[in-house]
Amino acid sequence: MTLPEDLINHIFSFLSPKKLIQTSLLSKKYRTFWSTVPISTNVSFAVTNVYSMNLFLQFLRGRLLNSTATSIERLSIQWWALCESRLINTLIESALQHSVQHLHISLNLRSKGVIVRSHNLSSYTLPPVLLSAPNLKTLTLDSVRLDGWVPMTCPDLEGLVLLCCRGQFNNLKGSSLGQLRRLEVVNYRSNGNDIGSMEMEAPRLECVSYRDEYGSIECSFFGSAEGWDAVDDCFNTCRIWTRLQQGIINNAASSSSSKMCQVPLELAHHVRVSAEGIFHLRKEVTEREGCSMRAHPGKKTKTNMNCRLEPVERNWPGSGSLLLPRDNTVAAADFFIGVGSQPEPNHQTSSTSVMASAMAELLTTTAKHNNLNTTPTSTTTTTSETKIMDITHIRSSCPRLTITELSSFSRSSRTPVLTLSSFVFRS
Amino acid sequence: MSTKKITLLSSDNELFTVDEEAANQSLTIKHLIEDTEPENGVPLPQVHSKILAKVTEYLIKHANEPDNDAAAKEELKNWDDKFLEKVNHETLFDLILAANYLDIKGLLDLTCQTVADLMNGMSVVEVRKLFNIVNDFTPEDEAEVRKRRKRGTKTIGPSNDQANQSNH
Repeated sequence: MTLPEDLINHIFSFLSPKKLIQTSLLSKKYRTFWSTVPISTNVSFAVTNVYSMNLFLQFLRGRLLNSTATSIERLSIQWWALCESRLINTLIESALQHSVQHLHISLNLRSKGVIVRSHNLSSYTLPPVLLSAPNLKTLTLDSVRLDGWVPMTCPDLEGLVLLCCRGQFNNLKGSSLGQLRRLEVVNYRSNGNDIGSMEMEAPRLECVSYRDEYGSIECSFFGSAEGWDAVDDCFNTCRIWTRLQQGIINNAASSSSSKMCQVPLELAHHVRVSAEGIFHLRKEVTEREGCSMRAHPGKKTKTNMNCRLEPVERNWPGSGSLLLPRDNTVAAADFFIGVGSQPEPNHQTSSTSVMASAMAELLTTTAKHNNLNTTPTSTTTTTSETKIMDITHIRSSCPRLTITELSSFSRSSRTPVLTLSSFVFRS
Repeated sequence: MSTKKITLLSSDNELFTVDEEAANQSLTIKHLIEDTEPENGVPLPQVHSKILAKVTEYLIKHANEPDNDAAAKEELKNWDDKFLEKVNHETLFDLILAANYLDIKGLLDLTCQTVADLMNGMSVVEVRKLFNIVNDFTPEDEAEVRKRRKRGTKTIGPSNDQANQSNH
C-alpha cells in the first residue's frame, strides 16, 4: 500500500531535522524534498562537532533556498574544540536569522590545551547582533570571557545565565532588558579578587542567583501583585539600575535620590542563603552606611543551618529588614547574634539595646512559630571583643533565615563576604 | 440533555453508533450530516469496518477534550500511546488514510507522529520499503552522496563551506 505524497509529506513534518535530511537518500525525487516540508514544530539543534554543525548549516541553507519558513527554538553550541571565531559567528548569526529563542553557547576557555591549532579564542568577540537579538528569550553563556565592552539590549530576553564565565562584570552592560526576569551566575571566575559590578536596566527582574563552590545565594523579589504594582510606576519613571555588585544584586537607583533608594526596601528583596551549607554570617563594619555579613562555608548538611549574626556597625539597625517567613524550611537552626567588636563608644549602648530588642522580637517570633509557651532563654556572653547573645535553644523548626536587601557580595581570597546595608527582625 | 446519536456505515455495511459530539470531530462526517441528513447511517464507503472500529474508539475517547486539567491530559496522552501500541504498519497506514479522508486532525497528527517515531529507528532501505519508494539512484549517485557526507565530517573551515555550497 502506498500513501499519497501529501500524507508522506505530513509524516515527514514530524521528523527530527536530522532524520528529515536523511530522507534525501531515499530516491531522486526526495533529493531536495525535505527542504520543502513545512516543519510542524520548532526545531532544536545541538552543535557539538563538525558533523552536527554541517547538519545544522545544511538544514538552514536548504530551507532558505526553498524559502520554507523555519524557526529554531533552541540552539546549543557546546563545542569545546571549536576554534574559529568565524564559524561560531556563522552558527550564531544563522540561528538568529531563524529567530532562535533559546541559545546556549559553551566555549571552553578554561584550558588552553583543549583549544586546538594555533587559534586562541580568548580574543573572540560575540557578534554584536547577538547582543541585540530581537527574539532571543534565554541566553546561556558558558565559559565565555567577558572582555571589553559588552552592551546588551535584547528586548525579549527573559533569562540570562553566565556559566563559568570570566572577566570583569562591569564589561557587561544591560540596557532596555524589559523582559529580563532571571539572572543566574554560576562559578564566575574573575581575574583578581574583585569581579567588578554589573549594571542592568531590568525593571522586571524577579530572581538573581549566584552560585559557586562556596555556596549559593538566591535573591528573588516578592512577586506579590500589590507590592510590585506599588513600585512599578516608580520603576518605570525612575530608571532603576539593577546592579550586580561584586557578585550579588544591589538594586540601587541610577541616581542617589532618597526616593529611589527607598524602592529596594519597599520591594523587600528576598535573599535566600543556601540551606545546604552551614553559614556563619558575621556582620562587619563597612565604610558605607550599613554593615557586612561574612559567610563561612561549613559542613554540608541538609537539615541544619547555623547563622551567626554579629552586627557591629554604627547605625544599627538602619532601615532594612530581616524577614523570618512563616514557611519553615530549616528544621533546626542556631542564631548567634553579637554586638561589639569595634563600635564607637557613644554608639555601643544604643547598638546593644537595639540588638536586645531585636533579639527579643526574634525570640517572640520564634516562640510563636514553635508554639512555645515560654520564651527561650537567651544567654549573653561577652568576649573581649564581641558580645554574643547565644540562642541555642531554638532548635526545632526554626524559620528559614531570610535576609533582605543584601547589597554586595565579594570574594576576597577564600571567604565570601555578604554586605547587608541593614536589617531588623520582623515576624 | 439528550445527545443525538449518529450512525456510521462502513464499506462492508457494518453500523457504528456514536454521539453527535464525538462524530463532529470528523469534519467530513459533520458536513455529510449537515448536507444530506442521511436516515440510514452516514455512508463511509472508503473505510472498512476494522478501521472504522478503531476510528470510533478514538472519536468517543476524544469527544470531551480536557482544557486545563493536566492530569486528564496526561491520561489522554497515555491512552493515545496505548491506542496505537499494537497496531501494525498496514493498519497504521489505513488509519492515516481514514483520518485524512474523515478529516480528523487529532487522529491524523497522532498517527503521522507514530510513523515518524517508527522512522527514527529505521535505515534508509527500511524507510523505502515502508513507503514503497523505488531507489532510482545509480550506484555512482549514491557513492557521490555518501562521499560528500563523509567529507563533511572530516573537514573544518573553508573546505567545509565549499562542501556545503556544492550541495546546491
